Amino acid sequence: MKKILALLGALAIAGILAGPAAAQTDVLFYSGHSGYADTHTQFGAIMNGLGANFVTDSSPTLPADLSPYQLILISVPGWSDPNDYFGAGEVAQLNAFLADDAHRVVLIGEWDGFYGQGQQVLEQLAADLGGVLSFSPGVYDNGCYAYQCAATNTSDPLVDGLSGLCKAATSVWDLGTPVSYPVENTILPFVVSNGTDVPCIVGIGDSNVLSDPCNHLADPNTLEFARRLYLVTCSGEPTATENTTWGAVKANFR
Amino acid sequence: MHRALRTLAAIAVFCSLIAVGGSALAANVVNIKVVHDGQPVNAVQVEILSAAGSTQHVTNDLGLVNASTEGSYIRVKLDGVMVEGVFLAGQDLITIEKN
Repeated sequence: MKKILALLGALAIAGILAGPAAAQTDVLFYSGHSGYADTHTQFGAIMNGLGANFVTDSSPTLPADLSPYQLILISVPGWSDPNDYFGAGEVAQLNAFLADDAHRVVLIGEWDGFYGQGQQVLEQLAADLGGVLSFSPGVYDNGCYAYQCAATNTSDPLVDGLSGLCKAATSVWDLGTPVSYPVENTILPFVVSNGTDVPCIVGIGDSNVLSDPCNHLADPNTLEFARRLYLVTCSGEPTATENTTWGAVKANFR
Repeated sequence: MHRALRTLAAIAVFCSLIAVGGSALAANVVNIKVVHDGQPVNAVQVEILSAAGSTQHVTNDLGLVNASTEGSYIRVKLDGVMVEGVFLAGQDLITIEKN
């Protein structure tokens, strides 16, 4: 009996020392590899409101441990240094992360004049992550206040029922499933996705869609799009993000 | 129960957006001075490239351009030629040497 109690005690201590298991529900906004990150207070608040822990990171390399994350956004890599490519180890990390269909990576681009030569870093990364999306040079930016979409692919769960997503649009994506086109360019979409297939990747053409300066997240459609980046996974099931209490559980089953 | 929690989460997001909304809209003032060998250069076409698009201006007699831009960082073209590097949009004065 004493041995059993000692064993249980040891297990309890080990559990305390180990801390809580990684939730795999957090959101990483990564702007390392010389990426560009404006302020993302609104997007962070939205993610936190969904129960995620929103983490920003501009370290030179990806965090060694991606296990806490469900959603990783990679923002305009190579922007200030066009030679700052992701290493083979980091690519392997991301591909391992994407092997789980509940995980998503969002690649964020910018228009040519602002991105410059560094866009080749994003092009290479997209190719390294299965090549299901292809980043193409975007020749213009229609600014903060263009609000029209030429088309929205309503069969994609990311945008089903939404409209008016083409804000601050740079149409710079090719391949993948077109999700939304700006009126200025009905050939190259500004948001693409790989649908619900693995790897679960989305490409966004312009950082202002999710950043603070243009305030697009105040728009209900864009807000819902941001929420779905997190909530609608490629495993097809909404992510359970709500926390509950024992009291609530008891109340529910009385 | 889930509906109540979702409602609470939605309220939390809404309140957060209200809290940050005011500061999110502020544009950054950009003051650029174009010089050559320390002297101001007049009538230079200055293109300010930001994450939210580009704007064009011409320097005055003091080599100055005052503009505003959304976004925290800018690139600059002088008479169509890209200036190497990026600049913090909110800083007091950006001095750029024109070759």
